[in-house]
Amino acid sequence: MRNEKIVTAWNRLNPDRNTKERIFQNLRDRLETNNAKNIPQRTFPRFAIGLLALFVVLVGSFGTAYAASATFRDYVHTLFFPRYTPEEIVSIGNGHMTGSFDEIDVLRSFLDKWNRLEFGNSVTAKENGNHYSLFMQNKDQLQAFVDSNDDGYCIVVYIERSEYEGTEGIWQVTGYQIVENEDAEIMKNQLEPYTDE
Amino acid sequence: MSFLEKEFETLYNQYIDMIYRLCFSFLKNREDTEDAVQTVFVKYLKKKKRLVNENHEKAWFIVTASNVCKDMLRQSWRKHDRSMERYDEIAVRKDAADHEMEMAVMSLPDKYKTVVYLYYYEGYQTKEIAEILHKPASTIRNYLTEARRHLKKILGGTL
Repeated sequence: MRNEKIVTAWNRLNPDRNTKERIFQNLRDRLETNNAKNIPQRTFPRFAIGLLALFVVLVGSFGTAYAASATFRDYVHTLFFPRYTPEEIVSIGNGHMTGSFDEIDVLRSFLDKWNRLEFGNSVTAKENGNHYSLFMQNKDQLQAFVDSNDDGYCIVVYIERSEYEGTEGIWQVTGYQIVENEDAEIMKNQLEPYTDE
Repeated sequence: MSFLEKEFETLYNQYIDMIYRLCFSFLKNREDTEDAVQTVFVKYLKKKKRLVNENHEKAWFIVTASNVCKDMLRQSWRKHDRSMERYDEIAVRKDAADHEMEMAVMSLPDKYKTVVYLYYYEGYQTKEIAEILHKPASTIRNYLTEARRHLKKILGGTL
């Protein structure tokens, strides 16, 4: 419900033409300033220049040191192409050989494979290698005499312990042979029964 | 001038009087009013959602202008500026006869001012005002009653 007196009173507050134009111009200026602030800077950022300079200095220093110092060159080569001492190479070789830290494990694994792959043709380990006796030449060289399914023969397995970094040594099978039982008894007499102490 | 600038100029010309007089009735001085008017238009331009029709647009401008003015008045340093001396600015360019009503309108408490404007000037119904201001219709009616009482008191019974 419009009231003319109030409408008139309020209309008297209307801005004059100059005021309208001034506000419009101020508003345009304000919006243009805001837009200018939002425009991304096209200049190369200072931190990028700093990084580039640092990169150039580092590359220069590296090149100089590489050209001038044989020690530095060797060090760089070692980083990219590792070089090992002979001891390290033996150690790495041992680590890659099949073996175990338990001599019985090594023997049983070997006998299992012996039977499965029929290493000895008709001569197989009796009851998967459950029947054997261990003798030693010294504390690092063992011979296992394993009963076979062929009554006249037994299987002799040679096991040796190699040094392996950080352990008591790694046991590995180094050889085997099939011998007649009588010869086996002679061999046993030249050895000592094995004790793991 | 780009299409957007033309569109904005049209919009500006359409609403500048309304926003200015409403802001002036709150702030009572030219500088603050001009600041408030600019703020309202900037808010409109920064708005991500466009308004569905002209009625919504008009209502948005009225409500935003009132809120901007109330925000400005809340700032303590501006409160000191609200002396009655500021009315003289208007009186200089107005007839003394109508000055009384003008003074009465401007002296309305802020919470009634927008309601009186919407009801008596824009001709909205109380229900419509309630929707625009997000207040119950009964509150709007109470505001109008109080505003009328206030105006009658100042104008000596004539409204």
